[in-house]
Amino acid sequence: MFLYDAFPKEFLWGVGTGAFQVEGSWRKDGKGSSIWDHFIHSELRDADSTDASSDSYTLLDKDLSALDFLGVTFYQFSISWSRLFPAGVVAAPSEKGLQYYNTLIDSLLYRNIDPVVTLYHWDLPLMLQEKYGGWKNESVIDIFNDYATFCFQTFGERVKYWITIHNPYLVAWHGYGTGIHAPGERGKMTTVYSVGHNLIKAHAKVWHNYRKHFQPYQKGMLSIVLGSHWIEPNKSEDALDISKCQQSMERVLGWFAKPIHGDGDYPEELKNEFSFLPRFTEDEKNYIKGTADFFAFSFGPNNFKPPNTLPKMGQNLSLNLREVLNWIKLEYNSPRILIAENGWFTDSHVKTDDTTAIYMMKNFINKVLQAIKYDNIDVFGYTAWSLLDGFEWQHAYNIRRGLFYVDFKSEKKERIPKSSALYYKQIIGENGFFPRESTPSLQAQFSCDFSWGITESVLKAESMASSPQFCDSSLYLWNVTGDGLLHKVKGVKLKTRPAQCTDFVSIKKQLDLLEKMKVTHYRFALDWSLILPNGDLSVVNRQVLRYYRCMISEALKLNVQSMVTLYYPTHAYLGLPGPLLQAGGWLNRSTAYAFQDYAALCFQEFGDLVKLWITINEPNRLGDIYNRSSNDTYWAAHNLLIAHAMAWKIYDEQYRSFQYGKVSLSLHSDWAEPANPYFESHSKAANRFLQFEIGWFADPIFKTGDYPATMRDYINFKNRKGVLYSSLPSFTSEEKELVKGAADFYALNHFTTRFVIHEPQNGSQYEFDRDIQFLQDITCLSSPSRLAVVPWGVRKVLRWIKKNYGDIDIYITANGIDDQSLDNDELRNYYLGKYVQEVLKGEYMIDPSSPE
Amino acid sequence: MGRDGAAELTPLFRFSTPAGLLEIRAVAVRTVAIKGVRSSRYLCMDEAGRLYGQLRYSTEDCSFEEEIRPDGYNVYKSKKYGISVSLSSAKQRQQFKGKDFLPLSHFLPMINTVPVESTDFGEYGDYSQAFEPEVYSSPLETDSMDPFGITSKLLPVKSPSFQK
Repeated sequence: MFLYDAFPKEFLWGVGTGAFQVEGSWRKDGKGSSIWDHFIHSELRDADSTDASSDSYTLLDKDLSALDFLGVTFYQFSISWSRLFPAGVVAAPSEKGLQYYNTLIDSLLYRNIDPVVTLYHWDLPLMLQEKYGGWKNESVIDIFNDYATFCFQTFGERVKYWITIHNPYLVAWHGYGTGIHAPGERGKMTTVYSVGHNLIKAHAKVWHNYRKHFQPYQKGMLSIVLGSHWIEPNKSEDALDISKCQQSMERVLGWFAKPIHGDGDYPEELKNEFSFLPRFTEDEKNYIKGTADFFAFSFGPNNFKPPNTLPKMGQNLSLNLREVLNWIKLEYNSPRILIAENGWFTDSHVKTDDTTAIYMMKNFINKVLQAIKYDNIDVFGYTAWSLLDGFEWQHAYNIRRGLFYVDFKSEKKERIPKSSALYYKQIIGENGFFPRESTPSLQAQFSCDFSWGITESVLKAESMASSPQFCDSSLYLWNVTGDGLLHKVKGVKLKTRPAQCTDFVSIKKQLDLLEKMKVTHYRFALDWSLILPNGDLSVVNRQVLRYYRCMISEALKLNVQSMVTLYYPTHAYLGLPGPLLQAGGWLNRSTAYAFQDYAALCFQEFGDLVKLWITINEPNRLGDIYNRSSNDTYWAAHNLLIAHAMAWKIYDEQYRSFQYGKVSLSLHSDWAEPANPYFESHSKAANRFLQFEIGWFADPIFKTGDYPATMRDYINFKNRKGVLYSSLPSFTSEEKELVKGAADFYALNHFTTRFVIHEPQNGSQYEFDRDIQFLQDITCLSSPSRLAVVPWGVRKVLRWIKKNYGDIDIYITANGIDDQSLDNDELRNYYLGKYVQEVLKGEYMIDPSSPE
Repeated sequence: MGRDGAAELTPLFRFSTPAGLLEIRAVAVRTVAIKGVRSSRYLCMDEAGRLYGQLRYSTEDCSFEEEIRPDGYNVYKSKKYGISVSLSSAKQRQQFKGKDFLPLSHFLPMINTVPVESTDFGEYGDYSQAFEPEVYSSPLETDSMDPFGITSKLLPVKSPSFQK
């Protein structure tokens, strides 16, 4: 479940980039080529555009403003080795290159942003590749150590966090194995593992160097960023599956983590599997072991791509960051952890509206919080990846990972904050997740006249009283022969007593339950097609009427008032009398007239006992039945509105004066929230959704006598664009007069809140007309049928109703959640408690509504 | 598909009942995952071509290649074993050995009209866990910017009191 809580006070919030991804200017000021410069110009077709990139080398000020905007406490960047030393080997450094990094570090410190500096983020000087064969050659280790020494000497006074190498797994695996990264060698497994071997040794050497010569007075910390996927067993209990997952993790993360963070040697699994695996001597093991001052961990798309290069062992990849942090904790003795890279990506066409990225971030960062709070894992910092859109390795510019959007073709290359930047800024500002929608819980009571009820769908009427003892006139003998059976005594007739309501067994059961619940109201629906099988008044099933009357009157004896629904259609059971259904159902206006007659009959039969009437339950859902085209849906809705209004009018004119009841209809009124709170198009979409869902029926009745202007305008707009050929029916002036004001209270069925996105859609069905797509927030508690549990949504919808339709009485005529537990229905318990609490808040802060 | 994971040999017409409703979802080009809506299990195949249901999606055993036949029907073939999904019995298979297609292996996917009831999750106990597996057990699309598929479908608005 999503955790609303704060991160520890000292928690570090940062953002990262790799030099080659953002700096650009690959030849400027005497910069030497790196293997990636060479690789993209020879291997990647998008090479032309890479020459430009986001130009951090020349646009440093823009990067700094972006960092200021976020409010980060550190910036993780890498130094381009060949910008300092064009040939790779330490000699006189390039003045301009040196100046760039000095300015960058000074500017960060001036802003109170800690630099976290990576020495090697994959851009090996090309000369070292050509002369030595790159990381295949052990002599690069010493050259790397010299370069590191220079950096410590030059920047070390100002830098407290050092990273030697970023994700050595990808360097070895894709640089020398699959060949999708520079230097692009499709080598043998032996090469891959000897490259890994050298990278580990290089790291260890630099750590010892720093430890011995710099750490004592510079007081910094040094580590290596290790990246990994996460994997979960097919069958969670299966020992074989679990051990395969363990193997998979050891092959990727364990390969580097066990030597460095563990016992100095490779995992046994790896040693057994690959006989050619290089060996560490005992001295080397002791030298390598423990060469990291914290565990720097990378979890992002690069370790999941391409999927066929991962050791999946037939198990399932997972993005559960909390689980992999737990694995690290258990394997490597609870290290302090810096999340040194985390995030996902968007396709290149996504500009600043990166809604999915918000939810990926929300999920990832909340998992980190859970790991800290629930599992006591010592995570001390988090690096969102990345600051800017840039060059994304084998994907070049086809995906984007920046919190800031950069139009690579533009002149100025402004850094424009995406939604994810705004969201990250908010998380940093609050140092965690603050439940913005909920207010402190309220201890108070509902007003005395508040109605507490329980609702039922169509009550299945018993056509016969089911206790034969009172209506059977025969006399019986029981168990004469010891067989336990009844034997009729011939020729004897007894007098039966008159029928009573308690003869109906089902009513008794129902009453028992109502009594237990201590409710004041009971809502149920009549079965139209059972009462009037012909659709008109030619045949009236009196037995059924008697059953319902019994239910109402018996409940009254328990002081439970009935709220009666006349018509309660469902997806599975439309509930129309056969002849009406055959005549076209709600597409035919005559169904509305038939409904009027039916309603009048019910008022006449039960109106002396029933004071609350619902004509139709959720007419705004019937579109799902009449869905051949949106024209059909709108016409069915139009007829339903007229039917309701005529029933209300009959009551108003002929029954109200002596029955004193109230009549309305129950609208399905779920709440809609913009999926992306930072985009106006999403807020507009949320409002449009409410108008198409609720305003569609509520505006004609409670407001204007016509459909909402928003809805009409939007449909007209799509008509003009030529993407929609349906239109809303018009109300005649008589219809307008009939419909407007035709309800005595507002009744709503509320279950959930939906997160909506503006997404243009074309199609003949009415769902497409409103251009809405839903987003399922995976961090949000939801029911088995995927309804999100969002308690504050009910308060928002109540406020919205009041704002739009004024101070009218409100009854919540249905609210609840699917929970299929047989006895311990924890989810429902939680749901009802929270939702009632929100209604109570609404009651005190908004208005004296009286929801049921 | 039953809760015990056994894929029954069900006559085709049964697939229009809630118990037999199958959800077919694309996971890659021409590749689909087939899930029993009621049982919440993915249809998977073992090396003998036997079908079974599994709560967790496994890319290898539960991915099927979709082929649209000229007659408009679809045939689903296991990616891993190349055997097509068929509802025929062992005996029927024997008889048709060597033929192009096994009997009862043609399907006609349709937009669902059967009201989908929620699935029972009581059997998994603790609900704080129970609502999460849905997310983490669905096939993770690591090549997608939306790996959990949170925006992938246009779902109709449902009300529990209407979609009973």
